[in-house]
Parts: sequence; structure tokens; C-alpha cells
Amino acid sequence: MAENVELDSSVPNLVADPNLDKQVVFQLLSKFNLSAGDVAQLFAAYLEIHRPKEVDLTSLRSALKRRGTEAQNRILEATGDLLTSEEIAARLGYSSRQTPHNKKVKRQLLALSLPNRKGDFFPAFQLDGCAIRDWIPELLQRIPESWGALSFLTARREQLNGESFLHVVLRDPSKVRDMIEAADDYAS
Amino acid sequence: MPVDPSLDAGKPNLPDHVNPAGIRWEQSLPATWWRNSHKRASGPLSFTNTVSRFSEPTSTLKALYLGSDSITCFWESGLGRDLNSRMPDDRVITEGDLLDRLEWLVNIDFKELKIFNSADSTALRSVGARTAACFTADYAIARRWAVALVAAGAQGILYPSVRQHSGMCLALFESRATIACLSAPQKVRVSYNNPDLLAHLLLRERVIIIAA
Repeated sequence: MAENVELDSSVPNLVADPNLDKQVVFQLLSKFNLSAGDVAQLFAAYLEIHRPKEVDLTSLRSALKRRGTEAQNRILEATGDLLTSEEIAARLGYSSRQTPHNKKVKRQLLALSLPNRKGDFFPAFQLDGCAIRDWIPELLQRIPESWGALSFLTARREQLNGESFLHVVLRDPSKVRDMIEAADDYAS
Repeated sequence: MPVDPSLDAGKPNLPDHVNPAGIRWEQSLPATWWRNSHKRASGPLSFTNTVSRFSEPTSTLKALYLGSDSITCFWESGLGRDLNSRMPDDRVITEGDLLDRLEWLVNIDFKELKIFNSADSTALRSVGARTAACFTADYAIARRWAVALVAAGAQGILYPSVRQHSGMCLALFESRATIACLSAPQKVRVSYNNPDLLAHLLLRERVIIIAA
């Protein structure tokens, strides 16, 4: 006789029905921090047997984004100072904040919008004195999306001995070509 | 007999004289291969000489890189290579990064092609390569081997993915024969819609996605 299986969210059990199994997996994933590697490895092995399907996409995307806010905060920390439209306009000698906005649209300036904050924010590292660094438009031509470009720039890399491209090119402008080539590769 | 590159620690040697008549060509290849490309790339089946394992801008060889499955293909593509170069806790990408990547399938008719399998120890001996690392370690050495093999008649090199265990990669070199053997590419989906890839990024690689 068919039996209705109801999941008790407080005590997950792996059950026979594969679809319900997956629900249990995602409930458990939501309870554990994935940095606890054993848990992730356990479920990776599990999902190799019960291959994920298209109906699982929403759950997978949610789990992938669960630590997104924390990651964005790390990126912002590595980015350094952020300037408002008015502040960057003043630093660049523009008469209005419309000009930075236009340059953002033309992908000549990198701008971020932040949750619950009004207006754009411009990372200060883009400025060299009162000019925009030459490589900013080049980078945005390759990686136009602001968070994607910042993630690319601020990620610490093994071949840079744990430094980020941002640190390296700000310290040694001769490394800009290496960074741009890597950005080319990123979008290939 | 296939070799496991991780167990084959021999020092790579450079090609000497490669006798075309003695080369052992791969006879058994799957017909269907995957390709992962950025949506702004010129085309999913473009042969390029951008910097990669067997190609570089100064080389005469233009290559098309394919993978045996969608996950191998992702790791061998631009975004995968970039993630692989990051420290493990900085593997953060945006939703847009995965929405921008397209997965393709292509069928290849290998009947007229000579493909060298660098994971086959008999094939390695047939060209004087002491170790599979000739094709998997230093790219400068791998490129020298590619030039030597193409000069000896090869139209492609099969090699194990160093980024995705159990995955195989195929580099096809541009020629009339290789272009003729490719079917029209079939677009499968954007990478963000691939449940196997997302599960892999989540659980095996600890990638974080930011909603942007």
C-alpha cells in the first residue's frame, strides 16, 4: 500500500523515494555551513548516485548563493574606499555627478549599487590622482559586470603568491598587461 | 595501456625526430564532444591561437579545445581556468558569469582524422615521449610536441584534463580535414541551467555565487 511520507524538518531521514531524498539533502545543506568539508563531500558523493535534475536547479542556486552576502562583503573590504557620485565627480574635476554616471554607462568607470543604499558607489582605486586609470575601461570591456570585474580583480591567486591582480597592478603598473590578458581569458 | 598522469612522474623530454610511419594513432574515440564558450566568443567552434596548452599567438597552430563532458569543459574554459587560479576561499563568481557561458555539443567524424592519445603509453613510446607529462606539464614543452606531431600528420591530441579528474580533452588543430569532420554545433543550454555543474561547483569546488 502506498504510504504518504512526510518530512519532519527537525529530524531529517533519508527515505526511499529519490525525490524526497533530495529534499532531505537540501534541508541538511541549509543547516550546515559548507565550509565543513565533510558534509559537502558526503553530499557530493550522494548526488553522484542521485544525479541532480532540472527541478533541483532552484535549490542548487540558492545553496550556491547562501554565502553570497558574506563574499560580497569580503570583496568590498578588498576593494577599499568607495566614493559617491558627487565625490568622484569632484575628484575628477567634473561639474556634475551626471558625468560619472555617463562614464559608468559607457563602461569607462566601475560603479556598484549596494542593497538599501541609494545611488552608485565608485571604488577609489580607479583614480590615479585626478584621472581614471587607463586600464579600467579595458577591463570593463572584457568583464562589463561590476561585481564580476571586482571579484576578478580582488581574488587572491596562487600564481601571484596569494596576492590579487588589484594589489599587483597598483604596486607595479607594468603588470597591467598580464591582468588584461587574464581578463581576456576569463571571457573566452 | 592508458597511464595515470598523476602516477607518471617522469621528466618531460622534447621531441626529437618523430617518424610518421611509426606513430600509434588513437582508433577509438567517442563521436560526441562538449564545448563551453562565452556568449561573446566569435563562435563555439572557432580555432584560435590564444594562449593555451598547445597554442599561443606566435604559433602557427590554431586549436579548438573540446571536453568529454560538460564539467570538464567548464574547467578547461576561461571562467573555469580563472576560478582554478584563485585561492580556494576566493572562488566567487556572479550569476551573470554563468549566464554568459554557453554549452554546446558537437559530433565529430574521426574516420579521416589522425588523433594522438597522450594518455596511451604505447602511443607515447611510438613518438619518443618518455612521459605523459610531455603533454600535461609545462605548456612550452607541450606546444613543441604539438608542432612536431602536426608536422608528422596529427590533426588532434587527446589528453587528460588536469582540472577535472576522469575528464578527457581533445585539441583539434585547424585544417581542412578537421573543419570538415565537425558537425554543426548544437546549443544545449547556458551553464547556469546545468544541474550537474551547479552541484559540482557547490559541493566539490565550494564556489560561491553572488546575485548581481
